[in-house]
Amino acid sequence: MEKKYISKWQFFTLIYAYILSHELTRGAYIYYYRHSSWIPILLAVPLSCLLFFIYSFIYKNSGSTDFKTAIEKVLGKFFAKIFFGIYFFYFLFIIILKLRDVGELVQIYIMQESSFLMIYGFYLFAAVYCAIKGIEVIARYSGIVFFITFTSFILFYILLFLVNEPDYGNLLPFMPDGFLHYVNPALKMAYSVPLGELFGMLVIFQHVRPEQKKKDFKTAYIGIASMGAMMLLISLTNIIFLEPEVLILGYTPIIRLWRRIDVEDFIQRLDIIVINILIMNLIIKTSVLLIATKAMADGIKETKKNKFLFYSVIAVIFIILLMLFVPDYTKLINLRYKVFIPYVKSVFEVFIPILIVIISFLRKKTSKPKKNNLNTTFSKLPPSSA
Amino acid sequence: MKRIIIIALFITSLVFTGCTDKREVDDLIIATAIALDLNEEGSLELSIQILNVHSVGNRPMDAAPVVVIAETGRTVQEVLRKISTIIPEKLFFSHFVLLVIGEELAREGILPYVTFFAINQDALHRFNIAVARGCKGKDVLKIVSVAAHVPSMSAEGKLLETSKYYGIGKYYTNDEVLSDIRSEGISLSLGSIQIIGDPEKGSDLENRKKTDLEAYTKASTIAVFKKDKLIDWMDEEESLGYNYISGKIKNSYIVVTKGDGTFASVQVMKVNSKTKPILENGKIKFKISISFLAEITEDLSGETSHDNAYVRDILERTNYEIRLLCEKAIQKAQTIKADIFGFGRLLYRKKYKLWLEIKDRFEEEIFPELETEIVVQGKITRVKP
Repeated sequence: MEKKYISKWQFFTLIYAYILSHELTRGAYIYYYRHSSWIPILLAVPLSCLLFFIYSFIYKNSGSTDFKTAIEKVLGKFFAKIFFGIYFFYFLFIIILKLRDVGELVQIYIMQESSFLMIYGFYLFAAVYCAIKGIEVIARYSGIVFFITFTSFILFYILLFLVNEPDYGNLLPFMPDGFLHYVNPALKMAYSVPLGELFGMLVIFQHVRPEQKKKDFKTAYIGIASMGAMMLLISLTNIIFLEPEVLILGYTPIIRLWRRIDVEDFIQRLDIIVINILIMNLIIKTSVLLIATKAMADGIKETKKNKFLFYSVIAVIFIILLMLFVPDYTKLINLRYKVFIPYVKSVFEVFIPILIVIISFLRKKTSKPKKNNLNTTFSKLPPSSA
Repeated sequence: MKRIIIIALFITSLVFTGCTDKREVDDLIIATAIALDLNEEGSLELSIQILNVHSVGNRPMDAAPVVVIAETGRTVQEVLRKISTIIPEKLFFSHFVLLVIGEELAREGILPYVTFFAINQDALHRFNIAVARGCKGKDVLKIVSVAAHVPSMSAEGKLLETSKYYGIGKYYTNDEVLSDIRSEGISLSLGSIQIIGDPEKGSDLENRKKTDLEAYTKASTIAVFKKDKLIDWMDEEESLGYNYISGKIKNSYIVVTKGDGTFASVQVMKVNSKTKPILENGKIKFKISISFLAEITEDLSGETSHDNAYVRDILERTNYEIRLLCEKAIQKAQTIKADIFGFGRLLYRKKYKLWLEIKDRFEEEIFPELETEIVVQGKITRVKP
């Protein structure tokens, strides 16, 4: 029988994988902020935590541990269905963007001659398989990936410092254009790449083991903060080892950086390992978003019995959409940074969630809250489900 | 459900056996070095040194270890595609170690070509870029070597060793070159390689069978660029001075003339250099502090001494000689108005507001008149008996 719940540690590793997968497309910010690109990340960490704190009120104010129920309690059944409908398409949209990134990454760095169809097919096969197996399996997988990622990063960064000479001068001048110049990118980074797009994780939060639920919001903040620290470290090492003018070549500077590791022509080409790590984390993010999509679809109409069919149909739709509508990656990159992040993701990751939270507060005020509502709901859940 | 998954896995395992994009090692056409030149018509000429896999390793030395093929075109990509008409497989670029740029092309500008290799995914590894001094890059690739079987390895080794253990050359990778060209406040400088002897005879395998080589490649002095165009060459002393200021020397030597007119050799090691901008009464000045460890290794008077006065005398003369080399290097750079030391970059990093005011006239007006203070302070740790 499928296990529905995950531990707080597993939730932490999911957040870790979810955010780390954003490393793939972070280069565009570096183009504009070059040696100062670490500053907006530093500013984005508390903002991202704050945003997740705001999201948490959707559960807290509704007194429900189930996302569907929480939204229905806040918006009412009719508006909840509309909400699930638009977020269903929003999550699909994010997955399509991720798939296109993966296709580009694999075709440029690993399999130049392979068709996109084959790359998408294999990638989706892995992600859909994880999604069918359920959140608990994905969480266990992310636990393994977490250790692989963490160990690899420690080992290879040690090698990087041993083999290459860092130039700390690359970090200067400090904030040459003033502090305000970094506020806008910090906001964007907090709700989109690399520290955002976390509304999907809020949907996954319903699967966190109930008895630990109160603590697990803290786990999310710790997860975001530690991934922020990790992203900061990656940014700083990118800058001190790669010259600022070289940083901007390509969207994934970490790949160029890892290629710098060359121990006596013996240990080299570690970029392939970092690409594999990124893909492993991307599979986790995609399968998490697939589960979130399924949750949205369930919000509209229960599809529990056709899980395999649901994901298969979704996968085929993805491939058709990708092959038909997004062949031009340059156009997609431009759209992503000029339209999607400022106008689409801001709406779905910031404005709509904040609106729901405001409504939840208003509802809470108008209706008398029951004491220990949250605890009562937890106690209703069977202990075996954990 | 499980059955469907198993069947799906089985079918995919039959269709995709992990051999997508497979390239057998034996079939790889490995590029070991690339040269870029201008031909007589002014078009780009790209030459590739390809490893002859059948003659490397423990195989007879009478077959050429490499083959050099060349084509011309308007862009690098065009030439590479033209080369595919000559070779049977796709070129494998992931192991080339040297990019040689002919002097004529270097004078015209190298940025477009360097950028191509910086963004080409096959060439993201580290490789050295050098200028072919007084000759074509293609000729450098053709010269067979004795010490190393593959000529490009030999040339690369010479550049690396010369920069580390002598100090006249420079080992500079693609990323560093691109960074210097595009960054504010620094002019590019590159190592160079020249051919001694007749290039035609040097490309003949017979050359390797002689004890007195007809032609060979030699790491030469530093080429100075303005933006991406070669403008001048430094001589040996100026190149040494440049490398002392850059702190790139791991091991070199200084010959000092003693009070009695005889020479002594001092081995200089672990050179460390720090440059600091100083603002005095609105005037910019740079203080260069150089430290090193040294050993007295040779004295042509016939005997060395452990006496303090002797050691101190040699040390002071060594300090003086190094300072002289550095001054010569700075003087040369100021004469040709090329800030190869990155004084401008230091101002950009440490005195950003000042840099914004002066950046437009720095290299042409301020740098040539720039005052520098060179402090050389070494330590002699050993006197070889």
